[in-house]
Amino acid sequence: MTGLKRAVTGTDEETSSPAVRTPCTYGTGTASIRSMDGTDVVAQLVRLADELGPGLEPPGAKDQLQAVVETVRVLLGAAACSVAAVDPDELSLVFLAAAGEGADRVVGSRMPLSKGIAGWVVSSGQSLTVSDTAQDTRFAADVATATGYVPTSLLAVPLQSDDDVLGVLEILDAQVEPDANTSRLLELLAHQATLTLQTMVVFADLGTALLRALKKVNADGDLGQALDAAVAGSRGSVRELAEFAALFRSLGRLGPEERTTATRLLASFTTYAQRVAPQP
Amino acid sequence: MKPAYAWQFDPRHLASVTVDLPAAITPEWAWGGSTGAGVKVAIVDSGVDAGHRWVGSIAGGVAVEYDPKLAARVRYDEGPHDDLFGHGTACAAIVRKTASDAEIYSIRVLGAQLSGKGFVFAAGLQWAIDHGIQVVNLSLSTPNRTHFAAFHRLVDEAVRRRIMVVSAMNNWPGRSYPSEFSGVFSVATHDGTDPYGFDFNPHPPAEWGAPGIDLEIAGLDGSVMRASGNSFAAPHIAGLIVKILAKHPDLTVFQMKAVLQALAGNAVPAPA
Repeated sequence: MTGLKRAVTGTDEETSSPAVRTPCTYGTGTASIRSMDGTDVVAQLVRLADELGPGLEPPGAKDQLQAVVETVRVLLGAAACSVAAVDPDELSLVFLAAAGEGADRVVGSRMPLSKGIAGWVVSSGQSLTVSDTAQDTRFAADVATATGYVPTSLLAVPLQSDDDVLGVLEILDAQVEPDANTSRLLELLAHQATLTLQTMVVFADLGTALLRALKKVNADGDLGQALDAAVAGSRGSVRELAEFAALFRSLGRLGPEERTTATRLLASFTTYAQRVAPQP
Repeated sequence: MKPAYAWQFDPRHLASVTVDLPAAITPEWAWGGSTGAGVKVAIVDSGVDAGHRWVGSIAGGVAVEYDPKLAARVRYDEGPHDDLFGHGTACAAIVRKTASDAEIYSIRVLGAQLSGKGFVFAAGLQWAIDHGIQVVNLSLSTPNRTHFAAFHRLVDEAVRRRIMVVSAMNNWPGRSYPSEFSGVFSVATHDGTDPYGFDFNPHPPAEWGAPGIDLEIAGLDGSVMRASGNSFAAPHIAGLIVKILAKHPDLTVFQMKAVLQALAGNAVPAPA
């Protein structure tokens, strides 16, 4: 998943320690999970989860965001609409979905958080309307020009979960004044976009999530029971994802030639599927 | 033994109250001749540029910063500070339009920090309550349910201390605290441009309508620009409240709402 990498700290510090059951610490917790050859299992698990997490992101997350921006654009008769996600590591915004004018140039582009209306909205956590971008010193005209469309007016809304602003929904040159029903729809659509960004962040943060889980497990003192409970608590909605993960695990146990072949096969199929799939 | 709180209504303890409401509430009675002098109004926002010609001066202020190392998670730096985004300066200038002599305080809660916004915002409102501020302009809000109780407590405390909290509705539909609370003067834009013109909505949460569309507002570095938003409607109501309070300092929050309702553009006399 582009642009939603999160830092995981404290995972590399003891990877070269001697092969003894010396406790290692993560934050306030203490873990004694260490293999006999000295490899820090916790660190490896976290790193593995970090690398696999974005890859295991449920399919359709960006499609959901695309559906949101298309719908908002139609509801408000806007020239364009986009969703950008916050990348806290790089203090920038990454545009994940866009509809309307300049959409093809917007998706995938980055903008520093210190710049533009969207950056202001993330920093303040407040929505902002601009009736004349030419008069607003916060407006990043160069970024807009690069997309091929410079709006006159815009509305930018923070997509907020708890205290974290996960992204920004931007609407350019809206022509329709929303009534009560449309307002309710807009509220729900922004909520949908926020939930989708939350899901994407969870997968990008899988390593951190695992670390937290292990800390909790260690506090309880029984890794096995906790894992059993986690397996028993898994719901049907994640089974497909679990099957996918199991497949990767099986591939990982095969030899290097088999893994290379499987990777090539998967890459070829993905390229083919993207080519023949109907464009949204 | 009498029930709890009954002692407050014992004639030996019950103080007399000044009821400063005439038979007919008119603009002249409410704010005629008032410049807002002597009334402390806080702009809880991104800071205020005292050097902007539309602001003139500010009486004081504090910058509130998120600091997870502290038990309270916030740090207070009292004294002069910059406006980081221009938003607070715009709001202060709008208050000045009608309340030219108000004592404006800047409480900076919007900053570059990416987390802790709700705590900082609530801490800013608490600072205003604790420092004798009479009118608080909040052209910001939070949708975060985590802070619902904290803001509810703060607004209740403000109402009991006769502090008028003016709160802009969010520009996007959805949850919005504390602007949804009945204890605040919740404000959204209406179509008018007269700084003395406003409407009353009998179906809140957006209780008051004031100018906020396509306005000339103060910006950073002395600039002036055109903008829209509920953020700019709220300080119009705050400015009028400051003017009224300068003439009628004994008004309670619910009395102030009654005065404003009587002066609203859509107010009509009751049928005889």
